[in-house]
Amino acid sequence: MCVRFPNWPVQRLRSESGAEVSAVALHTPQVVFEPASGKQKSIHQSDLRFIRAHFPSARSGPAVIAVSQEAWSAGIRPGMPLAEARSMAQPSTRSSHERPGMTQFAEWSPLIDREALLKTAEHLRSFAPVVALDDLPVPDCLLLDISGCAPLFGGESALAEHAVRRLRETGFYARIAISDSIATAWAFSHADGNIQTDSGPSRRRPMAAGEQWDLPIIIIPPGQSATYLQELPVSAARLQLADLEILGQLGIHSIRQLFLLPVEDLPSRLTDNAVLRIRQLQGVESELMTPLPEANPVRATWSAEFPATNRNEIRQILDYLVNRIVEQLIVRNLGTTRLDCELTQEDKSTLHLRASVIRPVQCATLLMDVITLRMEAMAFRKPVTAVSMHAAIAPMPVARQRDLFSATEHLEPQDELAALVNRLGGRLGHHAVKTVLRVDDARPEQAVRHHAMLAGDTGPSHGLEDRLQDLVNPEVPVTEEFMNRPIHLLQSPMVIAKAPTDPLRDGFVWQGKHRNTIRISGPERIETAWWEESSMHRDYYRIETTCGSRLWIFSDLGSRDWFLHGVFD
Amino acid sequence: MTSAAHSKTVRDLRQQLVKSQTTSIDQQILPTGIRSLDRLLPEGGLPTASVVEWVSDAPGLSATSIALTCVAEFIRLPGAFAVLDPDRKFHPIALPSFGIPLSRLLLIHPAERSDVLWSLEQVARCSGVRVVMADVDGVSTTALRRLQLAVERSGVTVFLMRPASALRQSSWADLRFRIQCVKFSKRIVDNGDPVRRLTVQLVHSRNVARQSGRVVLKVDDETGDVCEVSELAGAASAQ
Repeated sequence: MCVRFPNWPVQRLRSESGAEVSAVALHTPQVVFEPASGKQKSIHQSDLRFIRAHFPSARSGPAVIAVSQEAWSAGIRPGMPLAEARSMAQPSTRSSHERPGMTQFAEWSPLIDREALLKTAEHLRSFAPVVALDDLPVPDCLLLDISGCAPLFGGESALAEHAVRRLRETGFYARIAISDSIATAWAFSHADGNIQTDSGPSRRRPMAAGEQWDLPIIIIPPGQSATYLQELPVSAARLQLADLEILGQLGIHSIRQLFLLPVEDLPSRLTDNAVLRIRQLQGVESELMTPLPEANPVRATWSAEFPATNRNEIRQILDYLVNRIVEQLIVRNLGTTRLDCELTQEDKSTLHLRASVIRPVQCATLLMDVITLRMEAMAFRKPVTAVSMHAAIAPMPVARQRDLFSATEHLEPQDELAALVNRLGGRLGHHAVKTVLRVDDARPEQAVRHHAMLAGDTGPSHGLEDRLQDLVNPEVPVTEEFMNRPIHLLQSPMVIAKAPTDPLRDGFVWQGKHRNTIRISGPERIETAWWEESSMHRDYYRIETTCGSRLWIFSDLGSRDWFLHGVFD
Repeated sequence: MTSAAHSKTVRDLRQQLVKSQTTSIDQQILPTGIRSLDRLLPEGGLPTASVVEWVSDAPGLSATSIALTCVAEFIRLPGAFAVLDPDRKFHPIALPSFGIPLSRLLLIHPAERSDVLWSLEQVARCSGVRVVMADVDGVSTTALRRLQLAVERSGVTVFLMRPASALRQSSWADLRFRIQCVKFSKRIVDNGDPVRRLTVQLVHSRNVARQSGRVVLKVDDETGDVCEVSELAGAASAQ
């Protein structure tokens, strides 16, 4: 989810000024260097470069970079030199119908803008545990990973409405876009044609008739980003100004046209950054968010002069800390999906213990059950002198009323599964319980992707509630194509014959016995593209041995060695 | 006691014995997906809330494929299909060919061997799971009995894939099947091509009323499908 604050410098200034300030214009500093110390004012070079690239007049002196709607009406425009803007702000005539306009000019402070955006991020923590700041210069938006959070609010639409309302209460207007990826969410939230520091209608590129992206909330259904992206202008692709100018000269104005450009020609025409952004937009390249650290983390600590010397004492300490954590969560109406504990031992070494649960909880008993299971897999060889526990916060799910009048107490199958995953994860580790997804990769080893059910470092597991529902739903159809593949695949292929030996003719040794081949089916050539880093060129055969075993073997086309890869059990 | 009265007494005792072996949860009988295999079982299918062993004489004899054919029938009911895979050799990409969507699979990777039985018991207790499959070598009778008690409460069906060495152990499972390959020299040539055949033998049944017997199945090497060929006469049911 991308939460964009249009005209952020003006919004920030207005919220801080308190009194009703209507006409506001922000300008670059008159003096970049402080006269007293001779030092440069605190301003990111990247922010300054960005502004000077978009507003050439700012290179030679102070220029306006953002205006309010009222200042716009007075004739002041972003990019206008400050002196000219000030003269525009003076009313030349007065009539009985005009009121004298008072446009307030203020110095643009990108660092203060950035800090205010970080502070605003804390208001959005209750919607998603992972919040990040846009990494572009002069950021005007926050990025949230709402995977698994929407059902807690009754859907993505309800979550977005909550967020918009919460921000309005704090005095900010936001535009929200929800989509499959960071790149597409950013694109849809900036799809009204405005560049980041722009405000006012004159810079807004006209949209095609019938298309209206100037909405407070935009939600793109999963898997349909590509369809709607085509309609957006190239400015929504997060490209640098130089790349936008090149594309403009080539007559490329929409993302549809951008995607039609030959992929192999892009590096020669555009910057590396532009190629990366295009690939991110297409979903070819993944993008990571750098989560903002919590301003007010939920944590608890213990330390004592006399260390904890046995497992039982350590357990009591952890129980005490869990209860302190839960008290904080209840006060803040939040849950947790993960507890990270650091145990400092007598020799200053540390042990780490992580307890993950599949859904946000406030229940100390459940959390202690999971911690106890994790402790069983750990050895405590030295006394523990200090323990620190930190909770990864998450919004609490909406309470569901159970059927009071059912004859037997029952839970939904997915609730039972969630409890099972918590127990298994507690003992086996949070990576041990997974669902799988088919991946379009020729390599058999990479044909499926495993997706852990429990929260990792980046927050709740993606699409958790949907996955739980799919696991138990008998109506889910088979959508994957048929592939004649063995049910057992060796983690790494096992050499059964070296070139020039031919196991199909001479047999081979496997599990201590010599096996002769009595039937062969194949070859099936499986190979990757030549530019792939870990390329593979193999001829696979399905064979049957004299004892009836069906095996999957291959000849590596490079080395001509033979390998056993799978068993059709 | 007359002969008729004697027969009646034996029948009543057998019914009481069968009743005492039923589980506390409502047990259903589900088809295996292979008709001849269904006919091998007097109720016409596999019971839910049970422990079923599949013993294979050698790896690669399609024992797991036969079990997955049964799983596809089981997951027509709500509940997940869980697989315990300590050796990380389970290749889910083959599941759709059995009619099992990948989204129904819960894959569990215990890192330590010591965690396998514990994990299996936890899964067997969870009524959100419909069927769980696990490769296990040695399972003590205590562990098997715990599994049985767990499934009687939860309704989960446990499929244990076991090697031939398990035949030396007595079984506490509800059913034990043995899968063997028909020797190549004894195969029937079908259209000039010696088709691979398997025999599936019902070796053990906890319910004494169930008859033992065996069926012969054919494996289509192109699709990997397991289908029936014929049924050999089963041993007479226990009378």
